[in-house]
Order: sequence, then structure tokens, then C-alpha cells
Amino acid sequence: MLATLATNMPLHSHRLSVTKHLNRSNGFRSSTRSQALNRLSVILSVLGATLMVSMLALAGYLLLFDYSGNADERSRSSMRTVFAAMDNAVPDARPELAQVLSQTLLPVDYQVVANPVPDANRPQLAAAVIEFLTIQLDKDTRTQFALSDGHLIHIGSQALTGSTRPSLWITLSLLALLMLIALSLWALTRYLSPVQRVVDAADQLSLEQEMQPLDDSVGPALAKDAARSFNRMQSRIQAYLHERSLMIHALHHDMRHGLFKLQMRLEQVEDEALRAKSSRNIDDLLEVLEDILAFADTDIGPDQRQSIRANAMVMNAADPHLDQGRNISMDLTGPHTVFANQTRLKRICGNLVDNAMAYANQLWISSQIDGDHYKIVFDDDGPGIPSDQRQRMLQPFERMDGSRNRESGGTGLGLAIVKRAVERDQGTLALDDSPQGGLRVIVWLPRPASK
Amino acid sequence: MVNAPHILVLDDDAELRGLLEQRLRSHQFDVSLAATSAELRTIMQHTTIDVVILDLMLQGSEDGLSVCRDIRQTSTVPIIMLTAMSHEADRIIGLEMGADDYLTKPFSDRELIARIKAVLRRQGYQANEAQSLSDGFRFSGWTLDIQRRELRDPDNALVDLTSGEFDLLSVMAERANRLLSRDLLIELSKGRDADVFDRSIDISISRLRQKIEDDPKNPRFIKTIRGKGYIFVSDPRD
Repeated sequence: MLATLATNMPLHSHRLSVTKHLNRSNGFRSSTRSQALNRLSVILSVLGATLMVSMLALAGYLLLFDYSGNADERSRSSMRTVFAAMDNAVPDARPELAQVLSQTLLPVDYQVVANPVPDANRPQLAAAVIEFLTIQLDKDTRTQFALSDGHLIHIGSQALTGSTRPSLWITLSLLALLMLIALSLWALTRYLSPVQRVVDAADQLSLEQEMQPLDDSVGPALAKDAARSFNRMQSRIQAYLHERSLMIHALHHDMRHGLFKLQMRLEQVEDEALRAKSSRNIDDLLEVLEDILAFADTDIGPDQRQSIRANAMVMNAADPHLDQGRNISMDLTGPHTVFANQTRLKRICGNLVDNAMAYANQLWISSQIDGDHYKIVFDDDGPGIPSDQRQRMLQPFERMDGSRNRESGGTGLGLAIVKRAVERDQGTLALDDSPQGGLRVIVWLPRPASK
Repeated sequence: MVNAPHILVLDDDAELRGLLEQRLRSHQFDVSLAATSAELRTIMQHTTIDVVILDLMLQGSEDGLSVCRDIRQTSTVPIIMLTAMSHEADRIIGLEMGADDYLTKPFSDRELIARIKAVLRRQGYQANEAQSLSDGFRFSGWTLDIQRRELRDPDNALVDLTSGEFDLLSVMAERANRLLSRDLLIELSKGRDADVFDRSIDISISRLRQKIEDDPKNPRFIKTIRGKGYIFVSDPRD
């Protein structure tokens, strides 16, 4: 029978894999084109960036160092320094000092005069001359000054190369280097973004959502490799999930089939009591099967969500209990819709109502719109769940008394199924104390995007 | 009916075929058995069949759905599909492939017989009233899709009905703007859903109103005619 299933199942799965192939080939075609576009844009941006770097470096150089006013002022102060140094120095030290100054500040020559005429006012005179000279500072002229003791010096006005203004080429290369570093950082980030994509995809990989293969044709070779191995890993997970889903369905199908035959044969049994007991056993087994299938939630078909009127679903869950004279009050506001999967919504409402009716005498159901969600509240007057046990009760196979004994009712999957179903429909489930004394279960389900 | 209705069962499980035959015979049906679709075709060529019972899961290359589709191409015989799946998708695909009804394994004798009688009755009414069941009805923006057994409101949102409610509503929509007595409604809609037997028609009407009326106390679609029954009001211009 397992083999039968394998041949019959692909009804849905074939369709799925075909769509997937189509997606993949489409993605590939569009990515080769976008790859060419990418390459062009990279070349263009590198060219543009180089041009920009050169322009910026040149502008920086001009702004920083070739500002003529500043250059004049620097020459003036250098001249004053040179004059003061030479004037204050003892005559014997002057030739050596002139050499040092020539190498560091401005070219200067020392000239010994035969009959020097000292004059204490010479520094003021020199200062005035320097001030006067600056207006028409000529780079090549040398100006003659008389020192206080009457000897002469000749000071060139041109700033010495490398001392006051750094070389154009060094500056340009430094600036260009800085910009290149910035550019490479930017490029590196861009270059690594396909790798980041793989990281993000791995982080977001979820069994709850449909898996899409990554485009493995963008980025550097390493990123492509990473994307490819991510895709391989994802398809292994998918294959495993599919296999698991087939197995659970096959198990479910064969068990149901067998139990059905057992039940039919049972109807021929004369002994009324035996028939009733056996029939109850079969029903219990069927319930377990249904719960496990629901919890595994392995719908092989596409996961279709749609607008559904929530109030009708709640009513359908409550009606069988009302027919048996049970007490359920419903305060459902209007025909509001939720965006959910039909089978799951039926299960959510059914399980919550059945659960409450198993533990409590009375159930109150109310609902209201809560932002972009629809909120349904189930209040009962049963024993409730202590707050420290609520988290545990949402785990599969957990029961209040901790027993796995079916006599105490249920498979222990009830709330876990509901939680999982609500989350698959992108809703939220919360447990709380009910003002009615028992358990309060609140379900938020998303409303359809727009009318 | 002069002769006992003739039921043809197609199932690849010999044991189950035997059990089904036994149950059906005990309810005075004539029964033929087929293990493959080839056998089914041979039988259908030589015998008049009233109802076909088809297992969705069959061995080998064929499955219940394609057999169902094949039958539909040549015959309007009522088809009841058996499935071990309780999934909505399987049910809908089955109904779209032309099955008239479906039963989820396991089911009781009572359910099986009720469904067989229901499809026979529907077939009978169709012949008597010389009016084929349409694929669906529209009323004031609402859509009742007979094939998929779905009701949708004017915003195209699904309104989940129990199968009893669905049958009741389609029976009423089919006979819109006519006075329908309680007895007639019970007679027309019972059978498919076992609990309709037990539930008073008034409760079903009240639940339907809660689901489709803006103001259930002042109904627009399902009006009560005191002491006589109900009228389903539908303006054909809507």
C-alpha cells in the first residue's frame, strides 16, 4: 500500500516541482542579462570613481597649498626670521648660519663689507623693506639688507622646495590613496553582499514557509559556491520533508483503511456491548491519527489562504455542542473576515471549543477587530492552567497531569496543534486567566489586506 | 422504483469489496464489484448502473480521480467517492472531477446508505422536475457554488457551512421565491448529512440566517411564512 501511495501522491507534488523548475529557469535567464548589466555598471563606476578621485585630489592640493596670499605671508615671515637670525648672530658664525638657513628657509648670502657702518635702526628699516617688498614679491629676485653692524645679506624671496609647500605628486598620491581605500571598502562591501545574501537566507530558512532557491549566478565565485551549497542543503531538507510527509500520509491512509475494515466487520458482531466498546477503541485510534496528522501539518497540496468569515467558523465549531445541550454563549461582532487556510481555521476553532467543553461547563466566545488582526477570545469556567505551566502546555504531547494515558482524554496535541496552526496563518496565540474562573485563550488572526 | 437500485463498487481491496457488497446487499441493493477500471467499463457497458462507488486510492497506474473523470465523459451516473483523506483539497478535487458526493473512511453503514439514497433522490428529482441542477446560484452578490460546495459573500470571503446547512440553502436557492413547507425542506435536504434527521429544520434555518443575514432578526433572504414554511427571496435582477 505504501507503494500505491507513492504512485498516487505525485498528483500534487508533481505540480509543485514543475513550478519550481520554471521559476529556476526564469531566474537564470534574467540573471545572465542582469549580470552583463552589472559588469557594465561596475566598469562605469570604476572609471567615474577614478576621475572623481583625481579631480578631488587636485582640488584639495590647490586649495591647501597654492593659496597665493598665504604663500606671500609665509615668505615675508621667513625673510624676517632670516634677517633676525643673521643680525643677531656673531659675524664669525654668519657664513655657517647662512648655509643652514639657505637649506631650511630661504636662500641667503652673507657679504662682509670692508668698512661697516653700524646703525641700530637697521632692523626697523629691514622690516619696512620686507613689508614693502611683499607687494611685488618676485620669486627670483634677491633683496639686499644691511645688518645692524653694517655687513650685508642677500635674501631670496622664493620658498624652498619641500619646506613650505609639499610636492604636488606626493600630495596627489596621498589623497588618491585615501580615496582608493574608501573606494575599495565600498567595493568590498558591494562585492561581499552576495555572500551576505546567503547568510541572510540561511538565517531565515524556515520549515513553515515555502522555500525558494537562491540565485546562484551573482557575485564572486565564492558567493556563487555558497549559494549553490545553500540550495543543495535546502533541497535536501525539502526532500526530507517531502519524504516525511509521504510517510505520515501513507501511515495515516493505511491505518484508516485498516480501521475502516475492522469497523465494517464489527457491525456484524451480535454482542452489543463488545461492539460498542470496540467501536469506541477504534474512534480513539482515529482521533490520535487525526491529531498526529494535524500536528505534522504535512498538507502536500499548495497552502492556500483566503478570506474567510470568522464568525461562521466559530459557530460551526460550537453547534455540535449546542445540539447536545451544552452551554456556549457567543458574542461575535459582525461578519468579519480573517485571511487564513480553511482547514487550519476549522481545526483552530474546533480544537479550542472541544477542549473547553472537555474541561469546563460553560464557554464564552467573543471577538473584535484589533488593528489589522481579528481577535477571538475563548473563556471557560474550567480548572484553567496555572501560569507557570502554560508554556509547557503549548508543547506537543504535554498534559496537565503529565500522563500519557489516553483515559485522561486527548492526545496531548490539542493546544500544540492550535498554536502551530495559528502561527502558520501568521497569527498569535496567548493563554491567560479567564474572568470566568477558567482558562482564557486568545487568538489573533490577520485580516485580509484590503476589501 | 420497481427494481432495486444497482450499485457498482470499484475498489482494489478485495476484502473491502466483499464487506461493502455484504452491507449493501443487506440493505436490498443489487451490487456489482470491479477491481480495476477495465472491469468497471465492461460492467457499465452491459448493465444499467444507478450509483458508482469509487475508491480514490487505487493500485497501479490509475487513480480514482481519473477513473471518475473518464466515467463523467460518457455517463451522468451518480458517483460517490471514498477517501481515507480528510483534506479539503482532496474533497474539492474529487467534486470537481465530477463526483456527486464523497465519504471519508471510516464511515458507518447508516452514512453510506444515506448518501446513496440522497444521490438517487437528487437524480430522481432532476428527472421529475426536468430541471438540471445548475453549477451554482448568485443572489445579491453572494455565490453558492454547487460543485465545490462553497458559499461566498459579496466580498468573495468564504462562509463555512455545515453540509446540512449547505444542502438546505441550495435546495432553497434552487426554488427561490417559492413557498417551501417544512416537510418539503426536510424531504429535500435530508440524507446527505445524518444529523439533519435529528435537528429541527427551524434550528438549521436560524443558523443559516446568522451566517448570511446582516440582521438575522429581520431577514432579507430567508423569510418565515407563519404556519406555512419559508421563502427564499432572491431578486433575479441582483
